Amino acid sequence: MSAQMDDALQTLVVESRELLQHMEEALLLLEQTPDDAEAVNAIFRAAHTIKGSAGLFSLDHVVAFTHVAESVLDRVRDHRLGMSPALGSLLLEVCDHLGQLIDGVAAGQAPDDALSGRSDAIAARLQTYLEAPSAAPAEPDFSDVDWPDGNDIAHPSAAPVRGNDSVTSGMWHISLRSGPNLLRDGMDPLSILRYLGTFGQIVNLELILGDIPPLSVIDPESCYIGYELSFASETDQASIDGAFDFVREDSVVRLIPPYGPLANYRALFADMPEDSLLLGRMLVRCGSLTEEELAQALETQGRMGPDSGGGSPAPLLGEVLVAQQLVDKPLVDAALERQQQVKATAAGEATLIRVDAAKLDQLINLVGELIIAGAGAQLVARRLKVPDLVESTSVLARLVEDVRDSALTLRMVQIGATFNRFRRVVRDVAAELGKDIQLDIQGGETELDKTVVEKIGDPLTHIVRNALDHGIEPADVRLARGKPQQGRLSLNAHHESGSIVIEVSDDGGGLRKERILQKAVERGLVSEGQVLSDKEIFGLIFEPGFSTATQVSNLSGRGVGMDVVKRNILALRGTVDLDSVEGQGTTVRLRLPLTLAIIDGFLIGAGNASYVVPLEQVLECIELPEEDKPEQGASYLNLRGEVLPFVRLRDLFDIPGEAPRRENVVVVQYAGERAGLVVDQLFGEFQTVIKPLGKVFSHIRCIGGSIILGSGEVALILDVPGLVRQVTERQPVSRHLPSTLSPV
Amino acid sequence: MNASDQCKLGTSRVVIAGEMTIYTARDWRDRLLVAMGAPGDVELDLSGVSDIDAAGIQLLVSLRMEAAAADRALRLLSVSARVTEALTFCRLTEFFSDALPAQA
Repeated sequence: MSAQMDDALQTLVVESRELLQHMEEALLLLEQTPDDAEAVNAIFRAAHTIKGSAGLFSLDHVVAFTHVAESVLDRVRDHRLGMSPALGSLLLEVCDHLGQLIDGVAAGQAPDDALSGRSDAIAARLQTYLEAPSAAPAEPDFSDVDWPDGNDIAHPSAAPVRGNDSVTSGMWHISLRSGPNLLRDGMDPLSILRYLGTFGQIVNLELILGDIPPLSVIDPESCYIGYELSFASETDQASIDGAFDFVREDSVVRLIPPYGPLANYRALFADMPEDSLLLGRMLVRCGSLTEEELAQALETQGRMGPDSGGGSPAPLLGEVLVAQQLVDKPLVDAALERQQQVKATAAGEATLIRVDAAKLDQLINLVGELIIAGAGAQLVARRLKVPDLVESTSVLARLVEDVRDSALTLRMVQIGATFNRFRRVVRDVAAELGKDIQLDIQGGETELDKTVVEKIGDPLTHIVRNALDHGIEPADVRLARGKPQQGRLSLNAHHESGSIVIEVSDDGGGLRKERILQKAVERGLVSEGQVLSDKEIFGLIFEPGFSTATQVSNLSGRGVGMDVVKRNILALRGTVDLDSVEGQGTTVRLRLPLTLAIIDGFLIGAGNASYVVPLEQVLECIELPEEDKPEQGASYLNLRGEVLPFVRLRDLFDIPGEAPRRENVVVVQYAGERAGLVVDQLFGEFQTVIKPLGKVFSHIRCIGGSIILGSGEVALILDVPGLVRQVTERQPVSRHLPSTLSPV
Repeated sequence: MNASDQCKLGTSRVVIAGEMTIYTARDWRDRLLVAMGAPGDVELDLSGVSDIDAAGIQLLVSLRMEAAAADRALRLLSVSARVTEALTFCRLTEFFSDALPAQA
């Protein structure tokens, strides 16, 4: 396969996965609101698009499987088949299975027997939904259909089941808005319509001529004409669709089946750019709608309520329209508004482009180098003391900062997509456990770096599963405790001082402190009689020794692999903590940096080396009071009446030499804990790109990474959460760190 | 294709022959523009049109609308069978009713 083909296939895989995700979301939405026509359409479109693109690559197994699903969905869309929980579950299976098929395509493997077998099994189950009364044969064969040329209009023999809301016309209605380049691409819309005539009859055709520009400005090679036609044919939707296969990409094609629901026409009015009223008149002339139906469609559309099928005002409006040609202003306004909406979405789609994540990373990297180079230039300028140079470098520095900010926002994505994936997890796990659980999502629009998003999926899944499995009680227990039968799980995200905070809360049984403590004593994690705060007790479940499945489910039923969660989060420079009220629920709180690439730092010096503390974690700087010098052995100082534990960087990193006479304390804070760092010098704020430390240094605590200063020297980034923990817990620190680093 | 354009008694006549399709639409548009540039009525001889597609149809419609807007008469002097068929298929005979020859 050529490289180009490979690329195209890659796009197919990416797009299909996206579509499947939309499909899944829409399916889950349908479980809540089974009448949501837009969700049904979204599912159908997803299946249809996947089938279409798979067809281009001759992925026949995907096409064949999707085709069956699409046929079922088509029935749902046309209200010939109602959504049921069973069908919903089956369609979710379809979704999963398609995902597997696409995975196979991505891996370049032909489907094995197990996969094909599963395809057949699911297809067979789908088929049962197709065997209900139906109009069209599954495999259309119109070669032997002898259509008369004359005026003998064919009536569909087996009329589909007609709902209350269906129109009286027994013909297909087809809307075609050809893309501007259709003719240039060698396709004539008229030929396509003539081709339709080979397996049916165009009963009436209305051309929309309003968009044809005057002769002086017309581009004679562009398409301007829109087509509305009523079409009598006994073939099924697939073969009519097939006629438009080559034009679908650029053009808009809408098919409404015989006796189709009025809602489809309403959707047509809403989707097409033309004035609903003008379009409606055309449909009436086509014979696809009667006057009454048009009035009803427009009327209900005007009221934005699709469910009002009464239609008593219909004749009135119809009369007005016909007799006086008066235009109902609110109606037109509503139509205009919808037009605007359609245009706005179209414009919104057009402004999005797909970019390779690696290219973005490269950009960020370059911006990082730019910042370093800029800082270097600024340093030189200051040293040379040429006022013009200093000024221009500072302008440059500001611009570089702006470039950095906008480059970073390119990588920011909303967390909503990640959250939405949990709808499925919650649904499936709840069903498995026989619990009824509602998922609430808040703050889905909160943005964070794509790399962070990718890495929190697993820990988050773990926490959510734990909450579902062990947190929320079975329905009978809940009722006995006076809680509503339906459990609630909520996912919440918000920004807080340079971090994103993600909370997973449940309204379940909560953690039982005394049992955790008891178990911890048994496991030797805590000595008996030790007094621990609530926070410390809850923190125990994140300890490695605490978590093996049997112990935990015997105990309070929580904490399976929580140490793994904690390790993953720490690796992202984040923290995790937990609040719980027994009997009322538990909240797990993850705090993560917004980005892993760049920090606003505070530059400090101890000995010959420089260090950086993330600026958002610096509270204040004070001079170390004379009476608190470590000669007196103190490691606490009095900060306006509060006890502040501190550590000297010189001690921490074993820096040789005498401390200067005046030392400073940088007060840092993380997750509510405060600590002081005693340093020699304060250099001030500094923006920089993080260079991760190599694997060799990964075991060193208190260091989060390194940066390169403008002068070319290396400065270490202090890991404040680690430091705060060190200081507040007074644990021994690794003493074998290089105290100075040579310039690079 | 060949065309002979005449201008007599304040009437521009354009003879269109051969294809009136996407391949020739630009040429015919230029020719029609010249005719519209001259004062008076516009006459079109379509008897020699061997094929017409959506591009041809929209040219005719555009001309028809522009002529109407300028309050100038447009006459389709004679029309080939192919054009008649296309206009009928598009349900446009009524749209051109005042321009088409009486018997069409």
